Amino acid sequence: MNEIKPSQSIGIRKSLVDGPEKVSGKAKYSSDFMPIGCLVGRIFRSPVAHAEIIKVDIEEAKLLPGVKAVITGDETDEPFGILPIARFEFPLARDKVRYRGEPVACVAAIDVETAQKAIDLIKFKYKELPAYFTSKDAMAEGTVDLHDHRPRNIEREVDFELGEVDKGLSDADFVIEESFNCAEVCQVQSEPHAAIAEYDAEREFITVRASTQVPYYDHLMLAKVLKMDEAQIRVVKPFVGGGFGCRTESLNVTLICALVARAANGTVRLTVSREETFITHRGRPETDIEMQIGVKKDGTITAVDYTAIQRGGAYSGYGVVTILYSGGLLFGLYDLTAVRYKGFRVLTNTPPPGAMRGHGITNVRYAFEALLDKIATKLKIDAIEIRRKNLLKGPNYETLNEMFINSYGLPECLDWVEKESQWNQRKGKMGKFRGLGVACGHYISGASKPVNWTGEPHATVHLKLDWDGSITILTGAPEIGQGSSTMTTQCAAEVLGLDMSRFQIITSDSKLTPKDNGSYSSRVTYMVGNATIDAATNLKKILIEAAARKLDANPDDVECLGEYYSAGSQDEGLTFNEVVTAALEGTGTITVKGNFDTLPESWGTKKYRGGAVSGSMAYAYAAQVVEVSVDPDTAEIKVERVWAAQDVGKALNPLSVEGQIEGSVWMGMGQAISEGTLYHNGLGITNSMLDYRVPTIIESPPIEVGIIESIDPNGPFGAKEAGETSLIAFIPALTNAVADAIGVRPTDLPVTPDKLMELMEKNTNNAKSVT
Amino acid sequence: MTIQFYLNGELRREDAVSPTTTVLDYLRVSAGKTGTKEGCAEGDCGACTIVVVRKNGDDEPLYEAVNSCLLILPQLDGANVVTVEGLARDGHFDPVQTAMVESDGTQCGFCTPGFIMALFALRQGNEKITDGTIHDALAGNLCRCTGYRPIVQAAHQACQDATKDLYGELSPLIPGEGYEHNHQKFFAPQNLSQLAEMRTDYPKAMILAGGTDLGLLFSKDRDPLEAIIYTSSVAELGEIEETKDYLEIGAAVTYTRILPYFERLYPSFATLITRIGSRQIRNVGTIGGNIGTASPIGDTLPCLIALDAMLTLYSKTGSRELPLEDFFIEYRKTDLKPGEFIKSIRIPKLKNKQKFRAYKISKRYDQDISSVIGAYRIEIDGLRVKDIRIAFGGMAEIPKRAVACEGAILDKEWVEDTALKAGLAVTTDFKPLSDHRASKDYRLCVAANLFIRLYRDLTDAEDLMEVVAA
Ligand SMILES: Cc1cc2nc3c(=O)[nH]c(=O)nc-3n(C[C@H](O)[C@H](O)[C@H](O)COP(=O)(O)OP(=O)(O)OC[C@H]3O[C@@H](n4cnc5c(N)ncnc54)[C@H](O)[C@@H]3O)c2cc1C
Ligand code: FES
Ligand code: FES
Repeated sequence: MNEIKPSQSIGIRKSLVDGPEKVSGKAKYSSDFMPIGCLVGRIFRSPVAHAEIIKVDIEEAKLLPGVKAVITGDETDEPFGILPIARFEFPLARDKVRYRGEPVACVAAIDVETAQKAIDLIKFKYKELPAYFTSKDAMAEGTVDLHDHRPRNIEREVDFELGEVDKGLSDADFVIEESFNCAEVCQVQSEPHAAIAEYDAEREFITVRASTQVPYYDHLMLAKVLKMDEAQIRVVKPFVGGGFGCRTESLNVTLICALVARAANGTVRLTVSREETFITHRGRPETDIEMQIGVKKDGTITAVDYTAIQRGGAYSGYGVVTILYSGGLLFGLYDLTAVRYKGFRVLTNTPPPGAMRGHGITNVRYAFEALLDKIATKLKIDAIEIRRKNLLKGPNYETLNEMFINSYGLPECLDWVEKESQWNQRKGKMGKFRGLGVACGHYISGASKPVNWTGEPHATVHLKLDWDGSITILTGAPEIGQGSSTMTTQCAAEVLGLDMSRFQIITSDSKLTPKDNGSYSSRVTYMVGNATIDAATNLKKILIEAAARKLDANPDDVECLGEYYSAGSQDEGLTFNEVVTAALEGTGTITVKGNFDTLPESWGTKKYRGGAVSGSMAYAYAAQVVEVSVDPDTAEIKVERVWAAQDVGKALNPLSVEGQIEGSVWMGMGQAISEGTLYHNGLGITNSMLDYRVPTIIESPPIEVGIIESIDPNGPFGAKEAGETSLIAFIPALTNAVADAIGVRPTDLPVTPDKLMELMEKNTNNAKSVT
Repeated sequence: MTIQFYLNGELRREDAVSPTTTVLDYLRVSAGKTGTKEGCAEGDCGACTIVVVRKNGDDEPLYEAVNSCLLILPQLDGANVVTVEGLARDGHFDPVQTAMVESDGTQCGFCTPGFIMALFALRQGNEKITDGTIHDALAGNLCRCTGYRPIVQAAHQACQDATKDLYGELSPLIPGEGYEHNHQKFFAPQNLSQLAEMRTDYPKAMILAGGTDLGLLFSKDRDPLEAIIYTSSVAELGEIEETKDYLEIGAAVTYTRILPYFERLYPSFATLITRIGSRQIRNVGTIGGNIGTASPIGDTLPCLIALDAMLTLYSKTGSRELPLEDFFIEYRKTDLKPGEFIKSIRIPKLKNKQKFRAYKISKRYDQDISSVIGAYRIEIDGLRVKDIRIAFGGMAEIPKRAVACEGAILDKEWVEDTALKAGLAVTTDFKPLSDHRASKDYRLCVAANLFIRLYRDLTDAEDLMEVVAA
């Protein structure tokens, strides 16, 4: 007999378990459900940015043949919102509209043409109010408040000082400061928002399928706005075409769909256009940052003092968390001994941003890394050296704001990019209009305190083993393209020593799968991965005990080899199916569960209000070197090459990890050089894929990926975050490379050719006036 | 009247669909083929890509990727259409599908059917597979998850498999001459006189060529147009004539068909053509449509003006010729008279010493509207510039000659200083506007700098972008 070995799944390049459905066109996304008799929903949106609603006249629309329901803000007086402390948005506007495109009414009709005709019959009477499109205007003296309970339009002000900042600054040999502006950006995930809701009046039951990253939060918000018992609601997440954070809170599209389905007493499909998807927004807010860093001559940072102002749009969403992250997550990358932060989240008459990939820290990290680079140039210290100078004295390090760092692969990341990019040989010798830049970043592996604290474990996974020998993984973790279903399958297969083909996975159906908080803040691999390991370990124990009974052996002597269980070498042993039969005897189908909970020491600081926000069980680290060229005639930037190293703890699936890192770099590139929304009197003028300009395949640079494995002590097989950190590092690495290439430093994002041309012109003019 | 076509090898006949139904809506809603996705409904994302198989002159099948969101159903009359559902055969994936799974070329999967179809078309073609051709074939497909590298890898892997697909063996259907449903008319005239007739009989009817500009009326505005005259089946409008002096292109010739001619005759123009939209757009979009749209940033227009192209306009009462530069009157207003349409455009060939260059400046390389287009036909004799024609797009409300710039160059020595002086003349010729594509200053600055680029391009000046190799 050949030597029997358990099958291995972890650390091996595995293609997606749901790949075949995706390439065959069989994968069904929310808008692909079209049951017979299904109605079509269409939203009437506000034509103005700020107004008191006088009347929404829907009488004529209702009378149009083929129209089954027309609803307005009168449909529900329950507000929704991700944060219990900041719920003041309604699915359909009541009393006031606060941004252009805000939903005002919704029609359900037999087809899209009829729905559109009904929309055209709606008469919207309103009284315009002054509208504010910039943070500055909204915060000015004498403005009209968007919300009565938010004076001066400040959603949240954060103010903390940890360590002695004034002393740090006066002890410094140099203090350098700079202002930065980062444009608002959107996720532009490939699937526009969609939902389909099926209302059953007789049972008073509603089933909702939606493109979401957080079916559980949708469930809560549906119950709230529909005023229905949670148990009478079923939320299913079909295939989802990406998210990157725009679906980490309940979206009005989903809630409106459910409301109108109930009003029509039927099934309604609501698919919004690309433009409406831009308007629904929840991207990264426009951010203005002023930052000062003090350093010693040798590059040691003595203090950081900064302010961040975020244009928060008309409603809170995740806003309070975003502005807190912008402070809390400054820590944990470098050894900082004194930090002062002032943050302002401002309410404006623009669509509300949300929790985009690299939530809260991306823009602040950009400012910090750009400034650090400037300092290095001033001090004539190598840009990698200055970063080494300020590394944490860890792992096993506690930051000023009480974040615990248990694994820290940043030094290795820096070594890797330095070597692979031939930094030392090439930096400063790139010739005209070519440059190299470096930067670092880090990110959490799930927030240790969830936004909705219930006392339940952070993650629960069920494994169902049945007579046929197949194991079904039941998880609420929403697969949205990040590969969570593959990851979970790998974890379960590894523990049980079985091939992944033994497993099926069912995700995110509230009547079948255990509750899960959702796919956001890079929590799934860490938390759901650990819960899966726990569940599989529990199942393995049951199987070993069953095998022991059958083999008349002591469970401790039974060895699990996946497809084969034995108790010693002379023993015949049992096949997996025989063990399953033995295990089911007397009990029937087995369902086991596994849990994961965070450790209290990772719950963040109480030193300032909101300090719990940046606490996480583990932090991933990235260093990147970017090589660019700049066209002297047109100021176009070309990203020539990227070296991206990331400490992911352990690459459970190197194929997916590479995909996540490359995808992050590439998305960061969009924000750095071409993406940004623009509004004209509140009207979005970049709300199409043509005008918003995500990079295309041609702009996609060669990316060398360096996977660093620091093996986190608490991560699943040592793993941590892999899908956000590299985005954060890219942006400053790019601008630092541009500065190296042309000798002037861009400060505002995106660095478009017209902005760069202006800088270059100024620079040559300055040079001319000197000579 | 019916519209008939093959869908994944199966003959379909439709007679109860509005002619302004987009192919995408038809596939998803009426035919239940939801594998084809809607990501934008504007031709920008490629999620809706399907493949249309047609036969070339030698009866060989050509596989062309197109955006189903911008096509309306009658445009498929007689076509052989393949969607993602039609690729797997006998329980086996097409090599493209297998490669996409294996290389991790799909993450969320929403863009994937579109990529698969674009790659399917590439794999069935005879192109040499390089990173360059793959980029070109996929420039119209956006993926927000992967960063593309795994997709490029999948393309290389899949295209090694040379097995031919069977759809190419279907014998072509004969397209009809039109379609009507609930007072909506779609005419598909077969020859010039029929077209001229209809143009007079239905003065309000919209002329439709590829529909890459007009398609938005259907996909976004859902405009139930009453009458449409489709030019694609008009034999004369599909002709390409090459003589020793000129190249004459019928108004309904697609970018894809004309590209090989341009590669040979005006290589710089050809490069610019490959940056118009994407393959999906170029497979249906026409130069006639670009001229008809008369946008100040239509990419071919400054090029054609600089090349001194001549339009032939046709109507029931006869035809007339007009230099293209005189066709544009003011913003989006042309000299087209009632009953007239564009028959063809004639481009003189470059003479011995004439050189042609075109530069497109946009924020993205592909799939982008230009901020500035500069086009130059120049004849240098020894050191002296004997002849020069320059036209710009994006600098005024219409595509326009740069007369002052030309003056600064004509009869001068072709030295760097001349190029610099010509650049300075840009402000005399143009007063551009600022918009979200580019600021006024940027436009002026770049237009001036393009003369330096032209100078460098035509003279072997030292390459400014010297690099220390990695
Ligand atoms: C995603 C995308 C990207 C694009 N990128 C570019 C780009 O990079 N550069 C660029 O220049 N354009 C671009 N376009 C615009 C468009 O593709 C071109 O203008 C194209 O040439 C239009 O040709 P068509 O055959 O599709 O025209 P259609 O849409 O069929 O027609 C366009 C107009 O011309 C009229 N017309 C057509 N034929 C005739 C005729 N024979 N006589 C009189 N009038 C006629 C029509 O009535 C209509 O008004 C893009 C479009 C899309 C959707
Ligand atoms: S749906 Fe985006 S190109 Fe057609
Ligand atoms: S795989 Fe998600 S957009 Fe391409």
